[in-house]
Amino acid sequence: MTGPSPARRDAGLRTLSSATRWMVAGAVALTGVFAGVAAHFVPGRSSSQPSATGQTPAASTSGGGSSPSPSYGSNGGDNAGSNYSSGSGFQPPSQAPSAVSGSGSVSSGAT
Amino acid sequence: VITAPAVTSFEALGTTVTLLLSRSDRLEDARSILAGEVDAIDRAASRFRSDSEIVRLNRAEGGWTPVSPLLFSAIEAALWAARVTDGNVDPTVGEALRLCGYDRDFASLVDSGPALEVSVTPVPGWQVVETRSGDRSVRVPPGVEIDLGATAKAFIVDMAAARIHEALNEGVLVSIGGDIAAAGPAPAEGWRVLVTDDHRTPPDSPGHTVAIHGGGLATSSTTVRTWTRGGQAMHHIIDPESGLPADSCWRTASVAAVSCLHANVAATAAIVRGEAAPAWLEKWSLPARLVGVDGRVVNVGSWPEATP
Repeated sequence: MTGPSPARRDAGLRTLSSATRWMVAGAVALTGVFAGVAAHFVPGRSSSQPSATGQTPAASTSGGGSSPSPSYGSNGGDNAGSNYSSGSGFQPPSQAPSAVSGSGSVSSGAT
Repeated sequence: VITAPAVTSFEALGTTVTLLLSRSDRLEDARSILAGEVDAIDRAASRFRSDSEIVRLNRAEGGWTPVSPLLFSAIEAALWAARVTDGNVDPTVGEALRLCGYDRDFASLVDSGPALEVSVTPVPGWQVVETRSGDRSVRVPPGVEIDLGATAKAFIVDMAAARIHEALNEGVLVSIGGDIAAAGPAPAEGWRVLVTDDHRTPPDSPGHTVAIHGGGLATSSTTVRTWTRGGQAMHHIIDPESGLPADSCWRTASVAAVSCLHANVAATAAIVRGEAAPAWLEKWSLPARLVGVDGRVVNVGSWPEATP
């Protein structure tokens, strides 16, 4: 009994190798599809939920003296966006406090 | 140029609310806006009102709960605070606060009482709280209690100051229990603030007075809102790693930042971080004043030296 010729064996190996590559590619593609379906239908953590720690300090971007204000619709509006979902870090004041003599107009102390 | 701002105060949220405005004839309008914001956050985020949204959320047994835009933003702010402090200021401290004896409005809290059985137990951690902006819902796992005491006041201070400035186009400073935000034009030499341990200290008392021109200034301290159980002193700043009142080398931290929320969160985190706080505040370029339990004062960054 004789085995397959070298040419037929090489052709078979090429076919097998090609099929393996297609299977791997198909598996990767299907994984992506399943992940997308799962992300769409299964409730999970919001994309606005921060997950990273150790943020690098943000440069001061405050242009004036006003505080950045998160927005919401307290009177029944539906604007639930906020400035706190962007992953930003602390920002220093646009102008540091300065020491003054005499009394204050208000006190900052703990409640 | 503002010469002498008009002032009004009232009691709310278990503390003193103070409003300074550049024009006296718009003071009542500004006060009305401020009172509305304060009432709204009380109804949304008070842990001690049975009808508040947050009580309903904490009792939802892990279900997704639609919440108001205000509470949703306040929770997002609290989660931001937790993330940016690496968990030093965590909204899931509700149960820890309750187990430490802070289980009712502070005005009703018995000053001293029998010993409590508490153990070192980390809080669940802010990562367990989930938000869904599409339908503005929040999910708190069963057994987890969120408490916004570390952020909600500062959050609404920023909100109120911005709203008053937008509505009246006047310079305004809002203080709730010493958590301060200023918006719009400031007096020529700035808004004058006495920096102290206790917000109830009259502003004309001797001490360290600074001027700010905008943004936020807030102070956290372990010397205020304290109680004892079994002779053990307790306070309201919980270290999330232990679930117990923070055992800090600092008694008071005052921080200036772009907003009251930023300032307040950084001040509370500084108490929790202890000896590491000055370098951490410096990293963020936040001017700060730390007072040790031994009375030593450490100024961080561009915080000014006290005038003689």
